Amino acid sequence: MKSHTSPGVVGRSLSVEDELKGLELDGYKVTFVTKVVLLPVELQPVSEARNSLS
Amino acid sequence: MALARIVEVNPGNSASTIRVDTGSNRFFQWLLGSDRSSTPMGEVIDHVSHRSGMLERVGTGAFQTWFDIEVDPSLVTRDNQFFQLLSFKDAEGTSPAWSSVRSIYLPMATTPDFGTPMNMSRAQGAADQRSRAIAFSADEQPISSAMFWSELSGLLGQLAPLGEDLVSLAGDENVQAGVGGVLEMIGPLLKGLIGAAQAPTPLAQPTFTAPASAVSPAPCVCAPAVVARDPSMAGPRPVGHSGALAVDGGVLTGPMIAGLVGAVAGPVLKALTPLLQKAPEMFETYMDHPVRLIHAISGARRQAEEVTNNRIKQSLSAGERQLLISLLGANGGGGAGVAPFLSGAASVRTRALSSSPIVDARIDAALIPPDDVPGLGRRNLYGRGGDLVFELRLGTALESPDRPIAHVVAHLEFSDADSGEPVLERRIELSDVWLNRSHDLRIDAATAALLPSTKDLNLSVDVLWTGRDAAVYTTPTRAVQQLSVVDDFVVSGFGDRSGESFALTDPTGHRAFWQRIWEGGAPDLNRWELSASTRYYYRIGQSGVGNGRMETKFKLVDDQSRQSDSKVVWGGFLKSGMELDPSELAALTLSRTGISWTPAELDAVAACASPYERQASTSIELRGRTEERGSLWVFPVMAPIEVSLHRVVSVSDRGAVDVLEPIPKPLLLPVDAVFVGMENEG
Repeated sequence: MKSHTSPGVVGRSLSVEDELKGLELDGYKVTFVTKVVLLPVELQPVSEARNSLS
Repeated sequence: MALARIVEVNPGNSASTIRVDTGSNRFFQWLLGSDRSSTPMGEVIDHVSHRSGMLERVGTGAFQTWFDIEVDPSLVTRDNQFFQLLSFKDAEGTSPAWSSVRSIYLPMATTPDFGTPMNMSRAQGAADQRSRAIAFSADEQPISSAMFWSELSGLLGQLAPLGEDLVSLAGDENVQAGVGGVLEMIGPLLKGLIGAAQAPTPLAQPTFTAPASAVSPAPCVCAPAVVARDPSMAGPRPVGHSGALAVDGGVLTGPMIAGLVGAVAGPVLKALTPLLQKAPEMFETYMDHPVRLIHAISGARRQAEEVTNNRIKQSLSAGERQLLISLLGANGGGGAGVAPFLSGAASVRTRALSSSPIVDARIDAALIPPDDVPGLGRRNLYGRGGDLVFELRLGTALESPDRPIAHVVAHLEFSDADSGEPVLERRIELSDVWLNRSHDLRIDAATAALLPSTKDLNLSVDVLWTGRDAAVYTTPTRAVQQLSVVDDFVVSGFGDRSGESFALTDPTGHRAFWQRIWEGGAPDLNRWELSASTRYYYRIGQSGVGNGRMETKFKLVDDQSRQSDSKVVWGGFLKSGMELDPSELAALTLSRTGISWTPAELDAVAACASPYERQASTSIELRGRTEERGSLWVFPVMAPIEVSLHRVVSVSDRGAVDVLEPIPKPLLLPVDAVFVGMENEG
C-alpha cells in the first residue's frame, strides 16, 4: 500500500509521486504519475457541441 | 472533388460511429469484411460479410460533405473487423472512389459506467455513496466569435431562399408595409452575409431526420435544416425516392416545399431581429459568456424551427401568410404551388387576416434594465419575495401622437438563458399607453416565486394594441432583457489561490474525487499498447447530489492505431471529467481549513455566472502483455480559491437588487489534475 515515509529527508514536502509510491488498487500497481496544471476553459452542453474529440 | 475518406472512428458498445467524407459524390456504400489485401488500385476488403447497399448522403451541403455512419456493433467482430467506404456520383455507380481499409474492432473491455472498483466500494463510507456516473455532458467551446458568426450566418442561411427576394422587394411599397421595419434593420447585414450563408440551402430538396444507418452530422452550427419533416421518413433514404413529403395531411413536392421554406423566413426574421437589435447589449452582457450568446441565438433558431416542423400551417400568422402570398405573387410562380396548399386553411386564413396583428414598423418596444449593481456589472438581479416590475417603453421616431394608445396587451415570456426553454408566461394589459414613455409591467410576488432562483433567464415581451382603424398592431421586434432572480447570495466569480495546494492522494478517504477513466487489456494478443492524447475536465455542478463522474469518450485515430496477429495499438484521443458538487467541496474545505459554507451560499456557487471550469491535457502511454491489464485514474490537487461571494442587502421597490455586501471566502477547488497509470497481471 502507499507510503508517506521519506527516510532521510527532513523538511521536504512529499511529492505526489512519493505519496503514491507503492499504492495498490484492485490488484493494480502504479506505473506512472503525471501532474498536469488545470487551465480555464469554457464548456458548453454536449447537445450543443459536436461531441467529438477533434 | 469525389472522395471516399474515413475521417475518424469512434468504437462504442451500442454502436460504432464512423465519420466519413465523400466530397462531391453523394452516393455511398460501406462494407465489412474479414480481411484486406493490396491491389494496384489500393486496399480492398476480402471476404465481405456485410454490404450496406446503395445509400444517398442527406442533410449535408455543398461545403459540408462529411457525415456519420453508425454500424451495428453486432456486425463487428474480430473476424469481421475491417471497414471500407465506397462513394459514387450517382446511384448507378458512376465515378467510384474508395477509402483505405480500417479496423473498427475494439478488443478491450471498457467499463461503461466507469465506477470505482468493487474493493474500493466496500471500503468507502456513506459520504462516498453520493458519487454518481453521468454522461459526458459538456464539451469545450471552440472559437467563440467564429462560432457566433457561424451560427448567425446559419440563421441567415435559413433566409437564403427568400432573402434575396426580400431585399430586392424592399422597394416595393406593398411589401415594404409588411417587412420594411425588418429589412431596415437586417437588410444590409443580410446582403453582406447572404453569399456566405447560401451553402446548405434546403430549397426544394427535403432533408430527413437522421437515418438509422447513415446518420446526419452532429448538430452543426453552420448548417441548420429548415424543412418540414415527416417522421415516417426517419429510416435510410432509399435511392430513387420521389422526394415528396407529407405534411398535415397534404402532400408537398419541390416547389411547394420551396415556398413553405420561404414562408418560414417570416418567423425566422421575427426570431432573429431582436437579437440583432440587441446585438451591442448582448455583446456586452455576454462578452465573457459566448456560449450563452450562442444559446440565445440557438434558442431563437429553435423557435423558428418549431414553427416549421410542428405547426407550419397553424403557426404562420396571418401577417406571415400575407407576406408569403405577396412574395409568391411578386415572385411569379416560384412557389405558386403553395397557394392551393394554403387554401386548405382558407377559412382560418380569412378569419386570421381580419384580426391578427399587423407589424407596425414605426413603433419599437424595449425593456429598460435596472441600474447596474456596483461590482457586478450588468447582471439585472432581482430579489426574491416581492413583486417584480419591468420597465416597458414603446418608442417612435415619429412625432408623438397627442393621445395615448387606449389598450395594450403585453405577453411576457421568461425562458432559460442556457437552454432557451420557456419557464413562465404571463399576459399583462395596460391602459392609456403613451409613446416614448415608460410603463410598468408588474409580476406579483406569487407569480415571481415560480421563477427559478439564481438562474440566468431571458425575458421577451410581445406587444399588441388596437389601432384607430380597429386593426390589431404589433411591433416588429420583441423587447428582451436578461435577468436573474436571486435569494440571499450571489457569486460573481472566482479569484486567486489563497493558500497552499495539496493532492487528494488517498483513494479511500478522497474516493469521491478519484475516477478511473480507462481500463483494458488484450488477452488474445501478445502485447497491447494505449497511446492517447487525454483531456480531463472539472466543472462545478449542482449542490447536494454528489460528484458526477463523466463517462469517458475514446476516439481511435487511424494513423496511430494498428493491429497485427500479436499486438494491438490503440492510438487516439481520450476525454473525461468530473462535475464537482459544491457541498463535497465545502466538506473538504471545512475539514481542511475550518471554514464553513451554508447551503444557500453553495447554491450561489453552483449558479455563478462565471463558472469554474478547468481542463488538463496530457499524453498517456500504457503498455502490457497478454496477461496484463491496465487502468488510468485521475484525481485533483486542491487549493483554496477566493470566491467572490456577495450577500443581498437590499432590494428596490421594483424588485431589483440595489445593494450587495461582498463577503469573499475561500473554497477548495482543483488546480491540478494527477493522472495515474496502473497495471496488474490479470
